[in-house]
Amino acid sequence: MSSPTSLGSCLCVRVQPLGDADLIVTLLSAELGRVDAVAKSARSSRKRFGGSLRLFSELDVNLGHGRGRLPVLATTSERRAWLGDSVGYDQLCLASYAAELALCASQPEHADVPLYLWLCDAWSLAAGSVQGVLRPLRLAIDVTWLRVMGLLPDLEACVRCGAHLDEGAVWAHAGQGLLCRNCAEGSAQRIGLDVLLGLRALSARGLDAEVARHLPSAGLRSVEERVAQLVAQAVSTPLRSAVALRAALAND
Amino acid sequence: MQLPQAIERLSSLLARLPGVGERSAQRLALHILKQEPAYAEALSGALAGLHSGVRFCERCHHRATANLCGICSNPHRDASLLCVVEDVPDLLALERSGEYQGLYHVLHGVLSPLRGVGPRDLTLEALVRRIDAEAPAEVILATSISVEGEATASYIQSLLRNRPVLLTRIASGVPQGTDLEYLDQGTLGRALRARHSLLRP
Repeated sequence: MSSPTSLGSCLCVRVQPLGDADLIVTLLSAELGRVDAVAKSARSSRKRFGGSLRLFSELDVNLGHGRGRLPVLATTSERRAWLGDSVGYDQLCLASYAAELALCASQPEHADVPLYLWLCDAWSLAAGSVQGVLRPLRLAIDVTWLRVMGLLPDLEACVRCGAHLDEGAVWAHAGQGLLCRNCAEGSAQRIGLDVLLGLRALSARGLDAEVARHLPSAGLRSVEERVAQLVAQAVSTPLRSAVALRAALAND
Repeated sequence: MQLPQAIERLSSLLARLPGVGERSAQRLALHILKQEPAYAEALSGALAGLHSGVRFCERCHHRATANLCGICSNPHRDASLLCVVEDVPDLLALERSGEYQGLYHVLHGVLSPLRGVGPRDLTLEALVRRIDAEAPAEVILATSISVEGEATASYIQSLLRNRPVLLTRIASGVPQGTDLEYLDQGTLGRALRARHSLLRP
């Protein structure tokens, strides 16, 4: 039998039951991208994995060879877990949403360190979320994910004339950029300068919880909707957790 | 080698059962064929009667053959205790322990945004209605010790916040017969947080 291969540190993104006692674990490896592996007897015995195969945790992983198509998890040890004992449903929705976004963006055998670090930050943000701030946190996750994917519109300059957006902006009807006051079309809803500054801070500093929590609430709804549209266009299939998150947002 | 279509068909159906792969399914199909024909008839009769003969208990959502399951219709069970479990196998495991004589409520899953399971997909509304109607003294949350199990327990806690009921969570920590040195940090941490006192000054 060949010796296990070290996969290094991985994020546990998805866990699905397989048969009576096994699990299929989807990992995001900093070095190897998305990896699916079978955790044999993970549901019936705690001998091999103990409690270390938790969703939304960072693990050190060694892979072995199985008889099937997928590799088998040989050993795992937990480095850190973001969602603890008293996790709330809102936190679960947010962490799941980030996990699904990361899955959409990841590929097998394709290292993506920025995506890996983004997901760590997103889970950290989800773990710190409290009732009433779900909306800006979701927006922060969307904006920074678009940035990691290279899909975030330019928040500094008008997409049409190139003028600096120092008095707020409006979304362009066509395309995915922002327009200055002079180039604004029709009655598009205006993005205030304070909101724009918040988005720029997120873009520059990444998923900073303080920036996300202090996004101005006024005028955020239209930005949220437009950013959510950009995310929906970028992912190939609708996200299951987006439905749950929408419902949680309605109660937030 | 090709097998007759009847065997292939049965194998493909058996392979959809949890824990049964293609080769096991084929072995099972050939094993059934080796038995007396009466066995195959009894098996097909049992399968055919499964859906028509089994329903959900209208009180606890366990599987039942009448409106109420065997546990809910048993007058000797302690109706002041209500244990909330994820699914029927969990209920059966608790019954096997022999430690619990109260009633159950089966959720039929846990909250899982990743799998598209939300509060409306579980029997949560029925649980709240039942607690209001039956007023148990204690509700024990026995969902799994996982992120999704914990979030489900936390959600139920929020649903029952203003109701006069003692809400408890099953203990978790060191499994019996395990050396502490082999435990992962999460399990050990939980065990320490959930410690109980033996003597008080």
